Amino acid sequence: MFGNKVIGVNYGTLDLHGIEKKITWTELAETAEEGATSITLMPMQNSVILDWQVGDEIVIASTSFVGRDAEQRRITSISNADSSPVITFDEPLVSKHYAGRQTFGTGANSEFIDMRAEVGLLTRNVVIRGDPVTSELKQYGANIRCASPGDETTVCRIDSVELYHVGQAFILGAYPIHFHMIGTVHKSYVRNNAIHHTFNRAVTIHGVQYLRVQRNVVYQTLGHSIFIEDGAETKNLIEYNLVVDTRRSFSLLNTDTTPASFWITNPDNIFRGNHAAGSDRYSYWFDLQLNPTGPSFDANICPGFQKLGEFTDNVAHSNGRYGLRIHNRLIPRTLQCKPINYDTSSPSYNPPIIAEFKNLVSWKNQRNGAIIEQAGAIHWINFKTADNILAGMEFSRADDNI
Amino acid sequence: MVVGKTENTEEALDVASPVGVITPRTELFSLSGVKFFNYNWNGAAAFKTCSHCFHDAATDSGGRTITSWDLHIDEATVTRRVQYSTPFRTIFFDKDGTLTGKGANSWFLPYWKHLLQPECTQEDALGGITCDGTVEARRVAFHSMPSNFIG
Repeated sequence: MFGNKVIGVNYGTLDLHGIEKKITWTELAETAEEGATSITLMPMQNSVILDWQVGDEIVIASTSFVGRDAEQRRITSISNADSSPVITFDEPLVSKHYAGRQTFGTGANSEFIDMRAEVGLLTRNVVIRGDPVTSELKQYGANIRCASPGDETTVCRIDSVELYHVGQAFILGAYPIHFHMIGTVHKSYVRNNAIHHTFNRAVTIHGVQYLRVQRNVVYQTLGHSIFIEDGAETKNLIEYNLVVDTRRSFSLLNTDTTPASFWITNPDNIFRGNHAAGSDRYSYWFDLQLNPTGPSFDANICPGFQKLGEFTDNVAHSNGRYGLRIHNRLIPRTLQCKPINYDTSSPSYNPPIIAEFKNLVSWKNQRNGAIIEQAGAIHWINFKTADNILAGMEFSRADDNI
Repeated sequence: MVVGKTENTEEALDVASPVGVITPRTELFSLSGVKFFNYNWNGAAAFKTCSHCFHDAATDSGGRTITSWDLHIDEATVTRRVQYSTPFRTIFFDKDGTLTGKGANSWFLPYWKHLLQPECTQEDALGGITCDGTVEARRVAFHSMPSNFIG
């Protein structure tokens, strides 16, 4: 029932735990110029010592307008691991990777923006991979599927594992890590993993609630990387992940030809502190339909009109189109599937709910830092945008007419 | 904060004409507390109007009102306030004068001859017309008007 090259979990528990790294990704402290063979990372905090090793693979994200300028290197030495680590690698950089804080204005009008290439660790001591002979040749890799109908009926805890040559092109459902139609999954999590060089997404959240996806490094995926599938998925916690170099797939859904690092079909989830560094199209795409699709269809669920869970402190850069795209609409109201009604004396009183998107930093996008097609009571608060070719922010409509 | 260009710029940005905020093709949009820096080359500007109204399938006739207050438009690095685009009609209502420099309840409008009233000033460098708070700008449709009514 799960296909092949698969770890399938049905009414069971999967525990995969590698050695936990204190830091799965960080940022450059200084710009690394083209031709550089070493990089300096941001200073360690709280007495943490960088626990990466000589021989480990890292990815350095793009800071240009092209997400594919990310570069992978093997570490040959590490110094200053307890302060400002300097990492030397085996091959000079082909592209410049920028890092800096720029301040604009003076006095009360002074503001800064941090723009720094992210650096992610790709190596873990536990590895799930497709076979070396056919996987890459046929885009047919390994995959993990956790699926059984019913709340808490399957538990998958995947922590500090490396997955590569994973996912199977042209096969819906064969994703590197796939939670499928379980319901609530309070005990499950996907954290501290490195998922790279995939043929079909990275993490699929399908028909589940309360999944935790935290501190993962995702690099060079085909199709939407962190993928919330139908639009009925809520209360999932997606925080402090790094997603680098999301690429178009022509073997998946139509929308995967214009991929997002985070594809979000229901707003009632938590997105906090993620960095989406380079996609052929978008970093965060809220693709909100009138009702959920697929097996989650329910006429009483209306994603385009639901409240926002949380969207705070996320970063987007180096995208082919937009850093944040909200489309088709987000018009939250108290009763999600009923028309807005401002009359407090009416039995069908249904006021809007304000959705606060906070502290997005979005730069070096080939179109906009952020765009919303149709906005209800949407507040964009303390956004910082820079170096976007078309606009920092764009609002196409600000009405609640459907 | 919206920044047009930083030290991390590239040629693709240098040859473009970006803006800070593209305003909607509807009413009910406001913004405050936004700081604009470095929109001072080619046709770059703080604002562009009427999102996607350039599209062949666009149906809105424009003239929508945007409300703003507490803006900081850095004088040294942002000259042009508005890059008007099709259909060249968006009205900016400035509650405190931080967009127009003309005090509370002032207006920023596109250049049309009939809008150049005594309370208003043509500001080519800023990209339109500014009017003080003694007048009001409204979206009005004219039908069968003489050909020389607007210029």
